Amino acid sequence: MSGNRAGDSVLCVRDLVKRYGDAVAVDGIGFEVQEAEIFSLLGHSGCGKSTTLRMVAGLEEPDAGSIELRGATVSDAARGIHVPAESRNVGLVFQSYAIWPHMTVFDNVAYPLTVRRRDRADIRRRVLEICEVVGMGAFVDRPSTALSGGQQQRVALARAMVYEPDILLLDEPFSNLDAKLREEMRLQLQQVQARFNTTIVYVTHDQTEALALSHRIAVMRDGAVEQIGAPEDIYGNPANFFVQSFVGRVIVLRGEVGEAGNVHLQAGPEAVLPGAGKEFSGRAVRVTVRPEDIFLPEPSAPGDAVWIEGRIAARSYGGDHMDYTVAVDGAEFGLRLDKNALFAPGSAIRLGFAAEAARLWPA
Amino acid sequence: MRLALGGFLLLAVAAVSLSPVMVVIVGSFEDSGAWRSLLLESGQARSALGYSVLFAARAPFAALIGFLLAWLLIRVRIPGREFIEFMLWIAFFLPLIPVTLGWMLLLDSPTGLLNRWLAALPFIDGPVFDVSSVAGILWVHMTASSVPVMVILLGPAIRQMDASFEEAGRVCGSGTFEVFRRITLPLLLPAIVTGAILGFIRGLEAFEVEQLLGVKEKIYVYSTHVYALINWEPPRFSEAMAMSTLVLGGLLVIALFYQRYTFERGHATVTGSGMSLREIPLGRGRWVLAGLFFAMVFVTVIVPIAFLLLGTSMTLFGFFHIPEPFTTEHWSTVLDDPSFVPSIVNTLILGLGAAALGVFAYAVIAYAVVRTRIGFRPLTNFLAWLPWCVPGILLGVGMLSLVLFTPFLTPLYGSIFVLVIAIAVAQLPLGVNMMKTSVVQIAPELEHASRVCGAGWWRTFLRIDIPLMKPMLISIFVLVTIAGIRDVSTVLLLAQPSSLPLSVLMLEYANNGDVEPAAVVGVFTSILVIVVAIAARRFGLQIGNPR
Repeated sequence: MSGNRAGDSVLCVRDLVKRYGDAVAVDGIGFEVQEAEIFSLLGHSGCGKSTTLRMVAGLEEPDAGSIELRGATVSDAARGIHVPAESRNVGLVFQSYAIWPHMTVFDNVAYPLTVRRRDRADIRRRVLEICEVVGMGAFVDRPSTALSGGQQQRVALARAMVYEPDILLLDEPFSNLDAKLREEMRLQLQQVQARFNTTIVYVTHDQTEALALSHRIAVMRDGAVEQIGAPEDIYGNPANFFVQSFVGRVIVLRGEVGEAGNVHLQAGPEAVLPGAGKEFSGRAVRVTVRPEDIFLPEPSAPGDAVWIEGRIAARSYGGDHMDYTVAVDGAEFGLRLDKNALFAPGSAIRLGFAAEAARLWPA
Repeated sequence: MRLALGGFLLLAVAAVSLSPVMVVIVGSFEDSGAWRSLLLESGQARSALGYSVLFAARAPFAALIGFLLAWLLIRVRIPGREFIEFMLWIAFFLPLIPVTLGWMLLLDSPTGLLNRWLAALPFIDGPVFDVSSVAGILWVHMTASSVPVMVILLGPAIRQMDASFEEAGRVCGSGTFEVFRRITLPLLLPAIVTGAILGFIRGLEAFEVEQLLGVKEKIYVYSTHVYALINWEPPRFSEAMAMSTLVLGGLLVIALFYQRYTFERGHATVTGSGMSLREIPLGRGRWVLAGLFFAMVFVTVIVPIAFLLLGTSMTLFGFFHIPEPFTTEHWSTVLDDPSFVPSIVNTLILGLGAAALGVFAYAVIAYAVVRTRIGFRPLTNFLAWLPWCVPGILLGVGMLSLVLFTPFLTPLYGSIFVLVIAIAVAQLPLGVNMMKTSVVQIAPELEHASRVCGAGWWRTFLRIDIPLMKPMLISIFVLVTIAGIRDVSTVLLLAQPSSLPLSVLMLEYANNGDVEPAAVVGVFTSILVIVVAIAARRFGLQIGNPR
């Protein structure tokens, strides 16, 4: 990302700002998207990710900043440039699909091509081809009101891709589908993307989806980007406490940094991270650990582990595993353990983690 | 740009909706004597206002009866209910004058057919019924329009009610009747009240029935009184305008209250989840109900029409035993009238012209108000609504004054175009409102998707919005066409010999006491309206077609 010149990227967004009255929806966002990349905008609802996408599509006019598509400036508030959506050659899949109810599947998918005045044989060939790709080949003559949610989703995808747009924008496309179908659609999207080398900007609030699907993710909060990076970076090397607690599950422990930078956790007398918090000397800190880095006091546990004390608040049977809710230091978190590790609700539990697995954030 | 476009639209709407009203208000103050005479002297004016309110007060009763009938029609599988509902639509669409004429032939005192039959009975002395009375006017209004309108108006509210409200009541142990009384009725009460207020407002501006039945008995209402003032020699414009201003003020207050009420309560009941309401099993009872409904439809719709038809072809109405009871004289009177054929043409131009102009204008205004960001939208919206509380006769007076007293408009005097505009303006609130509900239902994403696919604003409007609004466009076209054929009070003062439509021709016959020729013209207008209604039904308009 940092090494690329603007000319190499399909999409280049700079210092984008969008206000609605006094509220700032998007507050100075910038990012670049490379050819054939799946780039996700991840954040809670209301963080400005959909607004950003709509500005890229040309449906909203930015109040400041610029957008370049394949090197051409399509939005530049300072220069008063705003290319309307219909002249941008982008594809957009709406959260609500926006399948036109008065047209058949075929008419819906053919629409962008008829707008572009392709000849009829060409339109027919390409519509049938793309419908086949998304698994709607058998349904082209259906009226679009007779489609299930998943089928509408596929039609929306076909319609957005049939004219080979420079970039495909997806606005929470799977959020109205049930879990199983969502999984299926995600796999299909990946296959289609790999086949056509489509460049995709993907908006989602679902961090699992973002991690599984994306080449890179921009984590957003309150209209600004918190971190941009590959899924492994975002998960394994979060830039701040928000990113770590938003992406993936995390256990948050309170601590105090004493002399020599030793971090004393409130979760137990033995819970000390030696010399880890030099930069926070004398201050309160938050210590975060991923649940997968937690282990039980077994012979295999490393000797220099940090140990915290907790209590089993609840448990639920999961077949091959057991899900516990553990209360530590006033907070609760979920912990999945082997079905053989049995703890009764209410009993005390000792949990360990390696000092290197913990991260320190200012409280 | 947005301000300029918005300003242009605002001016265009104001020119047709606000200026006639302003002319009336300003005109009422031009002669200071007008207000004094209205407020202090004119007993007839006060009596007219009193009768207007008295007649309009039928609305709550009509709403309640209409609700009960609609509920039964929807919730009980009454045999032949499609036909019953269709007949109610016919009653709703039929012009009022022919129906009134039918009742006159039947119930006039003492020559009405029913009166003479009853007089032939040994123990009855003198005429029993008198249609030219307060009771007669109320009877004609209730049967011909008020109740059918309420059935049609309240039907959708009943259908849209979420079935689970009633089901929850049943699960809690209530029977059908208790559920109706404690759940359905209170839930739909806002709709009933809304209907009652609406009926009250429409009742205040009623004209035809009162003109035919009330005037000769000196029972004047607001609009017939204004009509009399304008027909005075010389016309008493100022007094007519003063009285109109007074009524307009009252209507405005009621209408604003109505808007507030519907805004606050309107959203509460309509929570359609697509679940269909359970029908009430009523064994043999439904045949009894069907009998009652058929009797009602027979008496209120079929009988007056039948007697209207009979009246057009009898030498002396009701006298079957005279040497030549039947005659074609009345038909030849009308067919030989040189203004008859031009009147048909005028009526068609009026109905179709107002509909074409209206549908286009309503769509533009509704779309601009709902979907665009042009300037002055709230004001434009208000002005488009304003004619809703302007009685037809007032709009007529205003338009007439505009045309007569604005130099560059005088050439339009006597032109059918003025009548077309008047009807389009009179239907402006309904049309824009219906269009707005249609535009709102088009999710913005459907337009956005088209834009992203490469289509510009205009193509998107033509290929996405217009097709999606098509059912509504057709509905509005039909409603405005029928309004143009039916309307009397709006066009009455504007119509000149060259621009005379059937409805006014019919009224002129009736005013001259030529009931039978008026009935002949009434047959033609009724046929026109029914043809349009049936055509509309074939186009898929929801008329007389439950579910």
